[in-house]
Amino acid sequence: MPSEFLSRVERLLAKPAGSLSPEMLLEDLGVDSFALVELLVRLQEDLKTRVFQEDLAGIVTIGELEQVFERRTAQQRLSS
Amino acid sequence: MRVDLKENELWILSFYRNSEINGSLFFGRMARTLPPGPVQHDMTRHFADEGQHAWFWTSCIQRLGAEPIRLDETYQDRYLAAAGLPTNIMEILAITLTFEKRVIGQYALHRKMPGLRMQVRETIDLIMEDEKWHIEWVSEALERLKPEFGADRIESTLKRFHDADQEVYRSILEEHHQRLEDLLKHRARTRQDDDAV
Repeated sequence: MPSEFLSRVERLLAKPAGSLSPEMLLEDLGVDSFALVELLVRLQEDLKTRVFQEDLAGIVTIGELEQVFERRTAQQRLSS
Repeated sequence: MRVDLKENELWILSFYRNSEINGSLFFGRMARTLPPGPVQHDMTRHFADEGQHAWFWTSCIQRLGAEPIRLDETYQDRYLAAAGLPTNIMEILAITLTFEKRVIGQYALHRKMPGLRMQVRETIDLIMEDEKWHIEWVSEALERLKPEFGADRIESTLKRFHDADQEVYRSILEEHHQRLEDLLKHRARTRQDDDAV
């Protein structure tokens, strides 16, 4: 069963439900760099968290991106 | 009035046009994505300005008796490749501020070139009025984000993007040395004059 994060990414990118998997490469999403920035901004708004450029260094899959958001959300919950 | 536009002049004016189009596309998508608020408001106006600047350059080139050259790569493409993608609103504003400062510097340099065509001067003057506001609103928006992101993080982000911009500008000057020859000569002369003061 896809995670809530994956379902959210699918909705934001107007992809069919269940079409994304954690192993999928970000570069295989078929979106340009502007769309990727849009996706990141929307995810932060929806999940009420902040991610930073350094968080994405070396991130190549959707699953890794999900982990970044989980980590940041947990950190920001602790510090608030 | 139709005049003969040199190939290098046409290339650089087309490059400006292309960069304005790409800027407009980027800001349009950000304006579409951001939640309602002051940043969305100003970003939307910024988007409209950049689109109009692209039109100014299109019109300028045509008044000079030419048609814009289609260029595949823009300054922003190189810049994003060197600086990395901005990931949050603060980084988007920081990369915008760095880029806008580069644009103002470039247009100011071009504006001072001896023998500048009237049509080009008028176009730069029109655009420069908007550019001042671009710097202003982005600086103010970044200032408002200090409590959330921290002044230190904003400063270090600006420095990172500034360094990337320097690198990209240097590489473009090297790569297009022949096309930018007149501008580079003028830049060198300006620097000599500055040093002599």
